[in-house]
Amino acid sequence: MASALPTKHRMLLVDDEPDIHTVTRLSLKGLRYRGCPLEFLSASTGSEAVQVMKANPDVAVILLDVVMETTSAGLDACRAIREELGNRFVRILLRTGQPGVAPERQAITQFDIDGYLPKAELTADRLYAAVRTAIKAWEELIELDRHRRYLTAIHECVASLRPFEPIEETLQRILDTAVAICPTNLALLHLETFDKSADARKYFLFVSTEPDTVRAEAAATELAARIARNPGVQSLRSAGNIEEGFLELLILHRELGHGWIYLAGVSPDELVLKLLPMLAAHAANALYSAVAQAMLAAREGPIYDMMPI
Amino acid sequence: MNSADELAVVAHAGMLEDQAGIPGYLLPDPEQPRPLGPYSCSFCGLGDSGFLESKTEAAVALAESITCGRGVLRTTLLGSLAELEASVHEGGRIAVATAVPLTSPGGVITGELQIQSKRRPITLREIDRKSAEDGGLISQSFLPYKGAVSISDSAVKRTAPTSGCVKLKLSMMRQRAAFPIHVAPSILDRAKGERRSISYQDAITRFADLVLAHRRPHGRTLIYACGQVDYFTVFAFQEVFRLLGVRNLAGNAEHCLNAGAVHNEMLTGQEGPFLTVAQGLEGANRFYLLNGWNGFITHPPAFHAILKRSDLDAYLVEVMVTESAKALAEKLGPERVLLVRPRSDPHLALAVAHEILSAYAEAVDNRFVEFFSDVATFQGFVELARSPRFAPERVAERIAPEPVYVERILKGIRMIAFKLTRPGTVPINIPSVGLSQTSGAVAHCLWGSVLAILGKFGLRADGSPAGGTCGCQARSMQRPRCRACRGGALWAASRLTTRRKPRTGWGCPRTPMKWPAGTAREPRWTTRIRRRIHLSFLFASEHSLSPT
Repeated sequence: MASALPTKHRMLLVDDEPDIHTVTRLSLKGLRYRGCPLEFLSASTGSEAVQVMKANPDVAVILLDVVMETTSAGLDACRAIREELGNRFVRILLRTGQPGVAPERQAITQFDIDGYLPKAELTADRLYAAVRTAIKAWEELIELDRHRRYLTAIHECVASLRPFEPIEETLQRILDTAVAICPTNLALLHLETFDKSADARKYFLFVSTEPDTVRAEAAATELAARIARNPGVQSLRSAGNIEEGFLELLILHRELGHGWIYLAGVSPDELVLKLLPMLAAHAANALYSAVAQAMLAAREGPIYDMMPI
Repeated sequence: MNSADELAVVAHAGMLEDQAGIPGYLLPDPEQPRPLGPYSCSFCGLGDSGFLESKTEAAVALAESITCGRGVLRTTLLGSLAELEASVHEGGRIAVATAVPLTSPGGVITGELQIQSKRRPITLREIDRKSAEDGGLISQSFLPYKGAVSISDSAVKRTAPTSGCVKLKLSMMRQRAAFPIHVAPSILDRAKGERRSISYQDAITRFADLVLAHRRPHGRTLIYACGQVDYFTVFAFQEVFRLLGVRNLAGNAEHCLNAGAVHNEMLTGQEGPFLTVAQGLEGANRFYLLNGWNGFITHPPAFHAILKRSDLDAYLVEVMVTESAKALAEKLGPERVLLVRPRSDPHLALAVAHEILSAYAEAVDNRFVEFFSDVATFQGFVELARSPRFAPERVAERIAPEPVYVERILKGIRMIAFKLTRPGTVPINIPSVGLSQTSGAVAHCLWGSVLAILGKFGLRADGSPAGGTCGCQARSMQRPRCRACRGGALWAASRLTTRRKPRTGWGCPRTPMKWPAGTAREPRWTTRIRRRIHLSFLFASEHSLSPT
């Protein structure tokens, strides 16, 4: 799976002086962060800046003039972007030729800005450093947010798993969460559980974006067969790449059961590589409880004599 | 000289490579449902077997399909809940009007879709997005995740001789091994260069065919197997060699049995209560039940130690006249060798049980049965043994290879029952490996049950043996205890129907023995009881006995 980070960084220049746009582009032309170039968007008024941001919420940095159509147009735009558009990620660098209108300390305190660049003091090098730092901060925020969203998804999934609910419902939640953090067109979940007398129950779930249900099921079954035949699956001690996809093991207990989650056609990035095992570990714990609960419910004798440990 | 010109050489079967896990070729072919019917354990001498029965439910959709129409998608956008216009098109595509990307390209969102008054949770993956001429986003298109779940149950029914040994689970892939092992016999498909698993029965048949194809009509046969001969192979060798009358030393490979025993112990955590070789061979009043054991060849020190006893009292049950049979006949007389038809020795053991229950009912040790066994299985065993088909007369007729041996077998059954029930007798059963492997019931397990109903299984309170199985089938005298076998299948997991919890402390020298309140006298015996291990009486079900 490709990283959520962009391959180019968008920057919005907001100034009512066309020359400033030109000079800024020239100054930052060679800037690259992680090898990605800058893409410039332009606005000459505060309200226009808000519209551009509405259409392009993935802008990383705004170089924002303060005095444009009004003396506080830049500050108003800043407030609108933060509060009305709810964009907490874009890094806003206030660039003003009239520091008296928006003194640095006051602007930083009252408005959620990330830098203050008086035009009179602004050199090309200082601008370069300020923008590059802002892009870095934006990327880290985006990545942190993705981390937060994925952890939230796992947390919500884990919190919703109940050992007394049907196991297939638990499995569905687990599989839904897996595709939420690692998008794929086809995901499979296989689980085989055993009881004390070697009776076995096999669960097989799949979710797919294929609209044709019959084709989706055929593809899922065929893929599951290929995975089961793959010697690598049984050799895996932890997650790994299998059949052009990614397989995560679900190890309950060798006497209780085992299974796997398979995400077709994905190559998880570093974050997902860390989170999928976390999901699998929680899922295995929940399934262990569910299977053990089912065994306990079916018991006829003393509880502790029967627990396979 | 090229030795291959002189010797019939079976083509090398190919090395079994070391495994990092259970290889795919040993797994059931997913394209073909696992065949139902009988399964046998591929591991060891118990030869557990059962019948696999299966039931698969049809796949059930995880969610209802979405109807076409216009509605509302509720999802989280930039940290807050957003309600967005959504329209569901043919094929399930959902277009969502948005100026702000709900997800990165190809990403997934979750939310709630409402079409008219119907709401449903939904997970969507972005497949497309539309932008205006100025580059501003207009809408994103998504496909919903749809899926299905199928559940299949399979049960192993009528397991025998035990109620389901963990090794049967391992060999049926119903439990993961603690570390990689070859859990089934396999052959190398030379055309494809791949291995594929075969059944235990197929493996034995193939091996027998190979031996027959390479054996000269009247010559001696030398089988030389090298390398990591595994546990299965030892038993396969024994079975084939026995049936073909091939003398062999394969069972002498101490490495195999010990390695296999330790291996099993590590895998299963089970430990069998065996008499040591010394306990089996030394001491007074020993009565030996040698069951298919050709100790003259496979364990000369133990066999000669037994043969040298001045008070030797023994019977040998065999399917052919072995060196050991000749030696014992010479020492005690030919009536002490009970020649039986192949795979019929379980019938002999059940006939002895029948005789004990009929003629010496007072010898049954009810206290042993009550405190150390699973009463339900004991009753099953008794019911089976008492059935008319196991009356000594009928069994003798049934299992005698020739009519001339009927009378000898009948006398043997009665004499063995008589000797076993004498109070001072310490019965020592020494089984072979291999015999009865394919019939499901293993005679030494049944002998174990016979000894157990008399309370002659395990150790007495003073540590002396009351009787039991001695594991010196093919082992060195240097090893004090054989753990290859699991005590004649007597030791099985506690059953739910057991009324009492096992007395876990009894017999353990580190734990003071406690006798239940109200018990009139001290126990005259004790045995090893381990955590969650309880004596389960073995009784051969119909399918596990050969149709002799």
